[in-house]
Amino acid sequence: MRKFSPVFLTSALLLGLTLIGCQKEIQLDLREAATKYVLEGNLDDSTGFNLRITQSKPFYDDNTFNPISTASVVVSDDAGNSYTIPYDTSGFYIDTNLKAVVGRTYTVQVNDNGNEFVSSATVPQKTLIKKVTVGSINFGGGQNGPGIVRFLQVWYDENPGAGNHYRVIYKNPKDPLSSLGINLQDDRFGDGIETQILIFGGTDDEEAKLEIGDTVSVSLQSIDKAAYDYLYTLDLISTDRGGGAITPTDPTSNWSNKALGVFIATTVDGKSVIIDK
Amino acid sequence: MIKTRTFLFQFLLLCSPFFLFGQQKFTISGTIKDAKSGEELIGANVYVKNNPTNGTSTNAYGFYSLTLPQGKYEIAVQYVGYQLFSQELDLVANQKIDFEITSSSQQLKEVEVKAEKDNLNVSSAQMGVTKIDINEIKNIPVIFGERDVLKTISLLPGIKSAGEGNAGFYVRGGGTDQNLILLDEAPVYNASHLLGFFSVFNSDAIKDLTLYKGNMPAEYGGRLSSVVDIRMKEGNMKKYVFTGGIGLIASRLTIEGPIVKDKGSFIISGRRTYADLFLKLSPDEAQRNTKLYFYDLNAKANYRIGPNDRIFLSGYFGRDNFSFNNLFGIDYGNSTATARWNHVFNSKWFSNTTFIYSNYSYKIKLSLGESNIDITSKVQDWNLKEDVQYFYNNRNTFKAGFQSIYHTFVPGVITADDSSGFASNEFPKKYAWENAGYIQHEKEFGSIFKLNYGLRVSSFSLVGPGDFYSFDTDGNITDSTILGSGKFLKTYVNLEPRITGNYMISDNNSIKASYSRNVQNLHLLSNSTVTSPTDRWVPSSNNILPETADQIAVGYFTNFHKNKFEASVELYYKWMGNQVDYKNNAELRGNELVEADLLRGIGRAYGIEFYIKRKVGKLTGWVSYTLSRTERSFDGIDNGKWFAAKQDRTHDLSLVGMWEFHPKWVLSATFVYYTGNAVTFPSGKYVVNGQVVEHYTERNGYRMPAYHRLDLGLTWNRKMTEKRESSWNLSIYNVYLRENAFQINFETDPNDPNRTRAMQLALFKIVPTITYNFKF
Repeated sequence: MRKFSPVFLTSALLLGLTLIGCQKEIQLDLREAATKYVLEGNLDDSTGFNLRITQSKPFYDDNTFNPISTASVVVSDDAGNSYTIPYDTSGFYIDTNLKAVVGRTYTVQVNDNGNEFVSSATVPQKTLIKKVTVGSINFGGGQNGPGIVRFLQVWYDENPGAGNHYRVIYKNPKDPLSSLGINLQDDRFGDGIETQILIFGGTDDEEAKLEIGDTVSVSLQSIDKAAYDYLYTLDLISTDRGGGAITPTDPTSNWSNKALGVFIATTVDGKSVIIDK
Repeated sequence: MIKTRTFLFQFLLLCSPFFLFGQQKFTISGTIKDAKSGEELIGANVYVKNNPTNGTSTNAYGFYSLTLPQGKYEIAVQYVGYQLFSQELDLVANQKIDFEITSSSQQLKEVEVKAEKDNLNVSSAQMGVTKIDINEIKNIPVIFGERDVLKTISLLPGIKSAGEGNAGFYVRGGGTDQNLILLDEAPVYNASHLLGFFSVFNSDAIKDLTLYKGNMPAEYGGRLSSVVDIRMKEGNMKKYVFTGGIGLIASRLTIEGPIVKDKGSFIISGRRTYADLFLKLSPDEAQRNTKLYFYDLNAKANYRIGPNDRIFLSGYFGRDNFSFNNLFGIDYGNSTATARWNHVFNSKWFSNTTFIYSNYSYKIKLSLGESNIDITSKVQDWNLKEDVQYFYNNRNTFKAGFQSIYHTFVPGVITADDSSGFASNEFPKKYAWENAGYIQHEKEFGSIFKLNYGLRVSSFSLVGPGDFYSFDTDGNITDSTILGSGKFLKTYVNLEPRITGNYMISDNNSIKASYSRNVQNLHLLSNSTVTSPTDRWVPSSNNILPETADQIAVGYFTNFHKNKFEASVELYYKWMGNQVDYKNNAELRGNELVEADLLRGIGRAYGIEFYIKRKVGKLTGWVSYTLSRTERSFDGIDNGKWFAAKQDRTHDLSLVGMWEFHPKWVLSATFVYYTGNAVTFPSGKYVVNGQVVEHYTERNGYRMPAYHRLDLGLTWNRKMTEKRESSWNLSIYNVYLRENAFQINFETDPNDPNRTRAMQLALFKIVPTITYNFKF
């Protein structure tokens, strides 16, 4: 719903029709903020627990972010269990056996060289995908022309009671960027009804565009408000990228000690979809 | 008995300024009009020719009242761009005289400017005020051939354009929502078309524009920064006239004429863009089904019922409509209606009663697969206004009145198909009742000191029905109140004193000073930096307190070279209270509890404005320069540290020149330069969710690159006769192809994923336009 802002689309259309926009790279004199820890933790009922620790760096440095392997990571839950998570050569602290249990609150404690960070999250009720439908929009160029952009609608029954938040992770094997898309929904536009999350299959890369015969996967996650707010802001700042339409801020992290990043505890329901129209 | 008499005598003595002994006085009153069209002139001067300080000027309805001792006079009538008119008068009784004056050609203006009354900018008590002469601006180069009064005012000192493709403007550090824009007294909530590229005002239908930069008289209120008082033409009283223009983007047509000659007239003016008509020719169905246009319709009629009564009806209706292939679309617009009754009680008392309706609404349509959704939203006002003017004598004018507005806010009505996956829903409406009363007095002490002071008392009440919540600092509900219909939740009463004074050093030099307090009870929520039709107006409530602004200003005003040049320097300082901003992550749309996401803070703005203008001659124009600062402080943003507001621009320079090098040809140029807006840029980066994300620190800690641009215009007045006029205008926007930054985006270089870069987007490189204008 939110991703599909008609104002944005019409203004894009308008700009395209009437204006001669031009883009170029410019060099800015950007300050170098103090280095911060970045902790990205994920716990679900299917792949278990993983956490990656990195650090921020100046904007004009390269994009290599080396994971920190020396921290001690301990996860505990409100049922009295405690797990020490080992570092894996993949760059993550991983425990695939630690599966999220609905309703439980998990606390992650991280200590790296005396820098301590804590976060906790409660696993929301699991929600299942009811169906996935495929549709298309014609941006011009005929019925099977280049202007056809396909979209998916992931349908589910919203849990009655206000304050539920959802996310869909969409993966198109042809389009490596597809899994970075942030697709969110909450229950403001309908509490306890059959509802949907819309995913666009269009990309700048013609080769990666969604077409008939493609097989893609979608997974529906129930997430808490802190995770939703984090992802919502992350989406805003990574779509509009600062300088223009919004005043950007770092997304509010649920980690203590001013760390960047987020810890998300969730349930997952995945589905594979063949594009048939 | 004797005692009573003495007392009475003493009392009369005390009141002597009000009881005039000796020479008897009489009043002449009436209207001043354009001889050709019968259109009333606002702010025209009437005075005794050999004693110009003994005079007055017409009000917003062209009415004047001049009181003089019995005797013989030569009365002069003068107005910028008109021939000086004078008439002998033997004043022995109150008299009603309507003057009709004739506009002058350029050559005549040179001569007539000697009229000593032409120093009104120096001699009036009001400061921080600008009038736009619609005729004067017609040669200024424009983008897409559309003359735009709101774009023109941003070339004046203290007023800054909100940027390219944005009809908004900032006055003395205020936000775009802190300007009260009135069209025939009706507030216009969204003054922009095409997402901000044009303003809603069709300049063919406009007679007069007056702008107050915060020092508004007590009769105005409701916004912190400025009042833009736009008056529509009344329509030609003498004959039918057709005016129009054909441009690249839009065409205009105006019809005006008498209903009954010299008694009543009408004007209808329309404008529409036609880019979408070309889409209809497209072979592609998707493009054929795309809509992209806006239109405006201004209509007005007036009729003189008797010698002392006149009624006016005026309306504006404008709408933007964009939709793409029936899949999604938005249409939005304003409609206003004004009914007015002017009544002249006698030669000294003038009254105006106005009934106003104003509405701004938008509708979003989405149609995707099985989902059809409509979202509508509006803000609507019913408004009753009464103003009485009392011309006690030439040294004392009083004005008093009241205003009562009933606001209805409809934040969002969602209509969705059962199968859409969205529920039909209506976010609760809000109602508010705004009242204000004012009194103001303009007084002259001799010919060297003038004072205009007044008091406005405003009240704002949030009215039921509705559910109202209180929040803690984290945005959690702590208390709720359910209010029945007609019950008041909260009433804010504010006193708004206004005072401005003028000390004449000499005939052509004066010093002015002013203090004013303004209160604003309607707040625009917008987290985007460009105008969006879906920006949301909310009333003051238990969570949002009335915004306040206190402004002090001093200025030096001078005219020189026989009033051919005018110049001024103004200094101001403004304190702002209860400013509104948002918490990080605030979601402003579709959010019933949006008040939980708001922050309250303070602001300050100060600056110095320089202005010099050549008013007459073959080469006219002005230079305006503002050096200023505007800052905000919010507890919830960077721990209350002062930060530059986005509209903070250190330097702002405008140059406007018009050169009539041949009686039929005018060459014009505008140049603008300003410091880039304060923006938030990253001070680092990190990786999350599989992608590189920018790391932000302080709010608005960086600057956009400086903006500058030169535009040129060439007007050829092909025909200029009594009966027919026609002209061609060629405008070139951004002549030297400056790539001004509209946005700066940060991204990972697609060609080298190991680096991030800043990309600047510029909107226009060069835009030439040609327009044909006609009148017959």
